[in-house]
Amino acid sequence: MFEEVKAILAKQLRRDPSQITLQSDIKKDLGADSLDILQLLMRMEDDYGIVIPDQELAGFKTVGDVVAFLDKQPKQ
Amino acid sequence: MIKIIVDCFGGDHSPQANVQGALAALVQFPDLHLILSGDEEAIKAQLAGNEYDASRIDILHAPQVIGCDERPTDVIRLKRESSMIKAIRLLRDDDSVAAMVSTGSTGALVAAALTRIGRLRGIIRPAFCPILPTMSGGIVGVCDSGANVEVTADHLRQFAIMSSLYMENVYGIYKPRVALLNVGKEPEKGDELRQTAYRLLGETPEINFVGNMESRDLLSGNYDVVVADGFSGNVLVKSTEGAALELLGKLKKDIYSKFIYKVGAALMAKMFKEEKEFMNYQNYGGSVLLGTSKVIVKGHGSSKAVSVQKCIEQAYKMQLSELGAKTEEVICRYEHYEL
Repeated sequence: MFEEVKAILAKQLRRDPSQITLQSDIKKDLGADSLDILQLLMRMEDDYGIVIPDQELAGFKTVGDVVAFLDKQPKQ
Repeated sequence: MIKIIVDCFGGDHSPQANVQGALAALVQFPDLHLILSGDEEAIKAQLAGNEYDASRIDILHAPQVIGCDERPTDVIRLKRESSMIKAIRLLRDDDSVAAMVSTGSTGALVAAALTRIGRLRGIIRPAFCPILPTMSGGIVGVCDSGANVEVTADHLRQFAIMSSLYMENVYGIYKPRVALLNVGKEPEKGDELRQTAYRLLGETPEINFVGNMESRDLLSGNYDVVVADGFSGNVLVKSTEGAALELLGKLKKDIYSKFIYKVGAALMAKMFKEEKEFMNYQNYGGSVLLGTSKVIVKGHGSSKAVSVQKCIEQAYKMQLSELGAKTEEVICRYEHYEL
């Protein structure tokens, strides 16, 4: 899952994939803003057929937070 | 070959206007390939009886339609089988698809574009830029006209750069005259935002900033681009369109009120017809969303076939001119500037 999230983030934020770790802060380390994070989550919703609850949306700080959330989702 | 996806549902005259507009665009541009998004049977029914090159049209079946009364933030996540969302997902996922045209819900389109397509590098907020005819026979763009209600001076500078490049590259206007919408022409007029923006625009050599513009001068022909926050820009465009329509309506009513007026009008019928055609918004296409990483054109909800064709033409020309790359190149010089 981490590799998938990393690939999407690298393409979306035009970052070298090697710069992205589970500990990377999406805003501070990767330079994303709130729209970038929404774009990432929408991509996840589309790819995994899930709807991320609104209350979860603001809680993603690091790449690891996103990966942990997706790992908990039932496989489609 | 330029590939454009057309959302065929969501407009007042959909899918008929969208499909007929698409067919007209295929004739206009021999290297155009179109993907029509929406209910497959309904689209096939509209295509039936027309002569066209079937190898240049694909259909993306999408059984759902997004209504204008639906909450954008909900429908973009829940109506994944709608013609708009399926189109925008294909635009995102297929590198060969260059652009999208839609006459559906504006709010849903903006939300879907921002969260699925993303922005050009350096762009903080994409902005709408519709085109209006001016009294000198030219055109003027208004950027932003509704995508961003609250803005900073830095946003306004990005709107100015994006729309200036758009007018130059798509409409061939040399050094477009850029004005800032304000309550007076003097530099010190307006609130702090407008005063700061005035200074920033004057310090931006990539644009031909000519100063403040009062709303009454929008159609004067003295400006090619007017920069505004989305709220003011939206009010400007709609009040201008509304005033023109009301005036035409009163003129028509007055002409029919007296026999002698009717005689005079009959003698001027050709002129009236030309003026009506000149002011017909259907002939000016849609409002482009500047700053997204792929081209998106929003047609008016009441678009007829000719307007859809114009929207496709706008999208085609934007892609052909490589406007996105040119915009990124200029914007990135200011990427780290903050008000």
